[in-house]
Amino acid sequence: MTIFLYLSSTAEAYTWFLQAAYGFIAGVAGLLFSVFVFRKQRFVKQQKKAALRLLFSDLIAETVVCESQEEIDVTLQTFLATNGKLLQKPFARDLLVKEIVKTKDDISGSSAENLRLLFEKLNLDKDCYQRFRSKQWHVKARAIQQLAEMQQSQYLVKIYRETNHQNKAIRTEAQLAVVKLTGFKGLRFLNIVSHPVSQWQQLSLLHQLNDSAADESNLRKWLSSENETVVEFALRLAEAYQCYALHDDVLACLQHTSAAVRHQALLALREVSNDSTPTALIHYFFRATKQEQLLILDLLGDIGSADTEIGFLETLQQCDDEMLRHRAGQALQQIRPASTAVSLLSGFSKQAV
Amino acid sequence: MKILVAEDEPIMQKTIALRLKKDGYQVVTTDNGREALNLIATEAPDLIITDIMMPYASGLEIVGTVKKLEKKVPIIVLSAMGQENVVVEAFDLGADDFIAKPFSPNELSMRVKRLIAP
Repeated sequence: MTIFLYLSSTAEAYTWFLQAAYGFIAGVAGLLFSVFVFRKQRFVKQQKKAALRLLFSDLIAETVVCESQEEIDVTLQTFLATNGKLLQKPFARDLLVKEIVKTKDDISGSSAENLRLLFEKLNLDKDCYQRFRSKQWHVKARAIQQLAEMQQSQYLVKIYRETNHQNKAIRTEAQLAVVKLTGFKGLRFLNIVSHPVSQWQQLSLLHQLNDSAADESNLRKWLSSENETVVEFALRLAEAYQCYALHDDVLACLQHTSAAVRHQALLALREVSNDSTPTALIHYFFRATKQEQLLILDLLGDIGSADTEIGFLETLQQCDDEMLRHRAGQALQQIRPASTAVSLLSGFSKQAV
Repeated sequence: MKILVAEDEPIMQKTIALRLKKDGYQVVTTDNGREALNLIATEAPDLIITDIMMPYASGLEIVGTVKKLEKKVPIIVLSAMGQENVVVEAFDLGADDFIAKPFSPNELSMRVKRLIAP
């Protein structure tokens, strides 16, 4: 009886072990099969993408070198005759948009205009607008970028509404887009933006502005904005565009509570200075932070010339702070190169003592 | 007249080649610097247009090698914005002209005409 029980329990255990082993092998096989299917699908997708890229590169290159609108129409009709159905697929259309936008980055002049025409003739702007309406922030941000790159001004009002969007990526792309589409006028979003305009965004916007003419009345308004990053950016603009008429407004920014704004105001003063600037800087000097004082001394070296500045710098040659003494010496050397040797020597002798 | 176009971006390569073919030139293309150096030896082009950023051998290496061989082949260098230092280096090595992206293919065509007649 005991032997029978032992044998039956061993047989059960053996059956159970076999079932577990089969289950494990089936699981591993299933997993390997799914990895294989996934890799195969990815490979097929990549191959398809490469083939489409090749096809689209022909269309884009031929369009770029077209010399008339009629020639573009013929090129497009020839392409659509054989590949018309392909362009009904969203995947293919999305890829074509990306390829056109990427090429437009490297092409200028009438050839770039050809690409814009191709984009519109294929109604790719409508595709971009669909993505622009997406709830996903990255899809929307990319659509804004593409619409701006392809100069689709008909969407300007809709893009402008997004310049104060709570999502940073959407907001920054929209801000860049309106400037790309309308130049300096596009900066009017600074009137309403309540989110910070990052340093990188300020530089990107400046880069995008190129040769657009500055509007000083708006700049004056932005210099007193409640958003301190707007004030900082307005100072950068005043500096870049050398807005001499805004000298007093820039000078007033030295009273701002933000250190970044005060620093930018000093940099802007270098470009918009007039006869009264050195005196104003000397007045501000004793209330300034150490970093600002060093910057003021550099500025005085660049824009100072009168006896007042020379006297002030000579006084500083006697101060205890070695760095201030050194910068004051440099500024003096810039203002009157020939006669500063004596002042510098006196500074060094004091240091030696 | 034969022109070698060394550019790794397929659309740009095709665009330049098409533009030059329209102008009546024979065009040889490659998407990497190593092959470009081989083609210079085998095809003996009359002008070379090369991008600076290329796989295997850069545009600068192409300019340097061609000028070291004392070949009197004019070279136009294609550069992206912000590559001014590299362009200066290319001129030091012996490049004859440069064109910065974004550029107009028509402008490139004119520069080619200035260096060689079709």
